[in-house]
Amino acid sequence: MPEILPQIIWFSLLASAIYALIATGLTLLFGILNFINFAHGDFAMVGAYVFFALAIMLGLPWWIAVPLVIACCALMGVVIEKITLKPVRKSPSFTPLIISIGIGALLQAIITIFFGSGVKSYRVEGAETAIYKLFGGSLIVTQSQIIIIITTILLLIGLHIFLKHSKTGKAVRAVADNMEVASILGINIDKTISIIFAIATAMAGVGGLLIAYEQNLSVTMGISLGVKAFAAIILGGVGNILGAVVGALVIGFGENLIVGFTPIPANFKDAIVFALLILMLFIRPNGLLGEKAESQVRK
Amino acid sequence: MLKVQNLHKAFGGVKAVNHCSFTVEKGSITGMIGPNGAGKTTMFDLITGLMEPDEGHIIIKGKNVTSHPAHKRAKMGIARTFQAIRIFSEMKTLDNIVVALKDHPEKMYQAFLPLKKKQKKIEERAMELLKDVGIADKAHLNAAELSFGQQKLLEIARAVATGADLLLLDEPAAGINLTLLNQIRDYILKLNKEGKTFLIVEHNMPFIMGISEKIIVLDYGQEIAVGTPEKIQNSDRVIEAYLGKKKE
Repeated sequence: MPEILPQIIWFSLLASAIYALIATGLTLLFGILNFINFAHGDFAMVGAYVFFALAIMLGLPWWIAVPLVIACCALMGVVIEKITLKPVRKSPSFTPLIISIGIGALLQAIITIFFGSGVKSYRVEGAETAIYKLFGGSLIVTQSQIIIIITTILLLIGLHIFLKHSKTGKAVRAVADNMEVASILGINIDKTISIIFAIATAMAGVGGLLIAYEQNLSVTMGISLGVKAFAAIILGGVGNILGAVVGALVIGFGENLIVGFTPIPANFKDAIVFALLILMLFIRPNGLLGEKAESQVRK
Repeated sequence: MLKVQNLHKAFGGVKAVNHCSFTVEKGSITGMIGPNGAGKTTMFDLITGLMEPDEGHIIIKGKNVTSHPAHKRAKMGIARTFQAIRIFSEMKTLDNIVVALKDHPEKMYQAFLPLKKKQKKIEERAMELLKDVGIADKAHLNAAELSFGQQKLLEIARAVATGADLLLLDEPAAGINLTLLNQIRDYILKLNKEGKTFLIVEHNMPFIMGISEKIIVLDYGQEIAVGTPEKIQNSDRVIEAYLGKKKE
């Protein structure tokens, strides 16, 4: 049993990293616009397919393809927000929620039209990825997995610095705190929301392409990603960036440790996530790092 | 500085602001009083662009801004505080000010100064503003940890930080002790000397009568009297609005 522990921890970290990339964007959008974006997993899926088109079909090198994926996803987020969500900004929060379900379906349909519904893969015949054996062979690590972990850590640190220390980041937090007050201080709300959408969708897109590197691409891959990100932000406390990361870690480790050390088969992973979520809603409905409901009401 | 012309705003059948017109002269301190529900806060919302009027015009510095969004009006030099304090409670006291500060570089080359240097300059300016209201020692606390009075001072300092020369204060004197009240009055007078224009809504009569050059009285969304504090205090119409009609 213990000899597989390093490997399971590594897999847990990988899963957590991807969930964290998607969950932080989701929680950012919730923090500002007060709605759960059910298309968020599909943004990740689009990112994965855009990279497939650029790097595999067109054969562009990764250092051109990745920035293009980021740009495409950011642009997609901004345009979608302007067309579909901005007109309903003053509506109750279930209106944008329902719209986001529609956006998700639309994105899946568009990708199916262009790429077909079959499963795709980034792996090119004959190409070998570097593999490293650590701890006397009990931990096997691929190069792409290391890239996933490093990219995630860099992006999360970057986001943290942006929100805490840049003037625009402070404006974002001000808008999240109180949109009206921010606007009378001269902060352009529309612009700030566009920036947040660009960041959130770009991070989701990167998350999508990273997970597609590890697994395969399918049109429906976003659904499970979205659900896990949703579970992560509920676990960590909605609207809280650190909470989203903690929630992603709990889910990533939870599903892999339970599958690794109990007789529960691997295809029950999603069920485990939901069990964790339900348990959490019973014990701490505001999440691990969430505030008590009363203190939120006081605001 | 500010001209309100025939402004009208109704919520259903209630005319919160009813074809109201007045002006606020540059460099003045103008008070706005009126019974509860007279439309004072709605008037502020209309002037700052948080609400759109049904009719009428708002002219700031000779420019018709009636259709401008709030952030554009703010950039023209108008700022406000709220009746119920609305600070960013999850952010540090200092950051509350930093968010509001305009970072327009004074000279072109300053835009190219390293980010850190620029950031430091902004924070220094924010500290100065906190010093002016006497809460500089609280700069690194979360704004939620400040006392009620300190939060009020922070909100006024934040409005000043926008660089606005027209400041709209919604009940700055409500719910605070005499020492703080005097501090706020002195701060307003100091800013006024520096050339800032004020429009202040207030229920504390000694305070507002003592500080204003001109008083506008609103009742049922209309301006029923305009004049010096002395004139207003002796106006039958104003006494009637507050106390009801005298029995004959």
